[in-house]
Amino acid sequence: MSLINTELERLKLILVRMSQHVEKTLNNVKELLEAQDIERRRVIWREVEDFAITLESMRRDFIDEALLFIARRQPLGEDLVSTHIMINIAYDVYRISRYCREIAKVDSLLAPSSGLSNIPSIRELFEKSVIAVKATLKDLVEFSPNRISVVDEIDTYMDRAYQEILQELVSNKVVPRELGVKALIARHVERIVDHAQYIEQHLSKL
Amino acid sequence: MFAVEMNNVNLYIGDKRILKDITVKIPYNSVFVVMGSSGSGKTTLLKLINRLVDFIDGVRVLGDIRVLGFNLLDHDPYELRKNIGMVFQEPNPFPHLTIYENVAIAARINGVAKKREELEEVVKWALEKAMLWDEVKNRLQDYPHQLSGGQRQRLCLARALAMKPKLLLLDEPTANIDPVNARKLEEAIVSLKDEVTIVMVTHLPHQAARVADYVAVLFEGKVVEHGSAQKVFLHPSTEIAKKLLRGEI
Repeated sequence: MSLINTELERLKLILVRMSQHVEKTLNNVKELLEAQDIERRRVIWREVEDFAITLESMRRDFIDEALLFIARRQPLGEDLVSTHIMINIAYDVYRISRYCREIAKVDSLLAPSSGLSNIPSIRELFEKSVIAVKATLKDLVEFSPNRISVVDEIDTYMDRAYQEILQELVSNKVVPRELGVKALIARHVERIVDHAQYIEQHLSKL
Repeated sequence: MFAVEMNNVNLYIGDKRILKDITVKIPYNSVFVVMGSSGSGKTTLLKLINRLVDFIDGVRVLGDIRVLGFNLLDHDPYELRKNIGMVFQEPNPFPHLTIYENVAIAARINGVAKKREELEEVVKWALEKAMLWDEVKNRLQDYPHQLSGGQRQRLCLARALAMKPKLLLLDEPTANIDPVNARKLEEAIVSLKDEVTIVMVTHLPHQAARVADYVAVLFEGKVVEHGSAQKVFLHPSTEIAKKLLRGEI
């Protein structure tokens, strides 16, 4: 394998490692949306926070690696375009972890009450987003947008659901706390799916 | 209108077909780079444009070629060459002439300047355009052998420019010079395109990427890919172009 291929593969591998972390953090948040036990929730908050920090650091390292690759190998054509796409994907993967962190933060603010597990229909929305992200992460490993239609479909569903929540929000003179929290979380979930969709779109350009 | 327009051009030397069905259009005031590996026909294509191929024994050219609006194969090559400058791979200044005279002779022969003041102006202009003026302005009476290889090559560029050509042909002009001089020459090339159409041959993809507006990729005498620099350097469509960009052929 040529040096240029070896180094491109190495960059892809970093992205795959990032995606494994994101998958774990999604599972954490999924558990958080069901958990009532405050001690367990505390552990999850910490783990989600740690993953977000790790992914931020991985993204920075990835950009350094990618820039070094560009400086050393001076790629052109598909190699250059792939490198650019991978830098974009690294950002999207990292952003998903940031939204997970925001969701965990809202849950921690609700403590010591039972937190997000009591907010209706949030779990269902989040589970849909997990399906979208997992499909995207599989595509990332394959480096091909094989599941783009699944993600597009969930994105459409999510946009509509978020719109309905916003309409519900503005139709109230006084916004109940539960609805406010639901709107906030729905916004984060909707953004998670957006980033999954962006990754698919980047992969489509290859 | 294009500075150079070739349609289905084939060039034979004896029985051997060197250029095959070449169709390219080179817009005025652009840098058009011909890229390809050794033996792909790049230099032959360049020498066809100013009919230097006429000096090759057994050469035969078929097809339609228009250069600066003239039908190349019907036009007087000496008249045509007055409008076409060329810089070769190896710097070849006149060794017995001073730096000043090397540049001035081209302007004088081509009738660009007749009076001494006009000539001085053209020499200064050409040396500035070749990014050499600052380095030689106080030693114009020196001889080329007193210059570095890179400076000699820029002197050749200045000499080509002094005849005020409409078309400038560059055959791997940085092949034998150091990176600093190569970079200066590239900067000169890019800044010249407002005044002259440039056709440059190189086998270096990164150099092509630095200077080209348009690119043609030649392989075994055929144009296998051509288009804007953006298209060729970001989205090449042929395997040969992809390999060339990776330095694999």
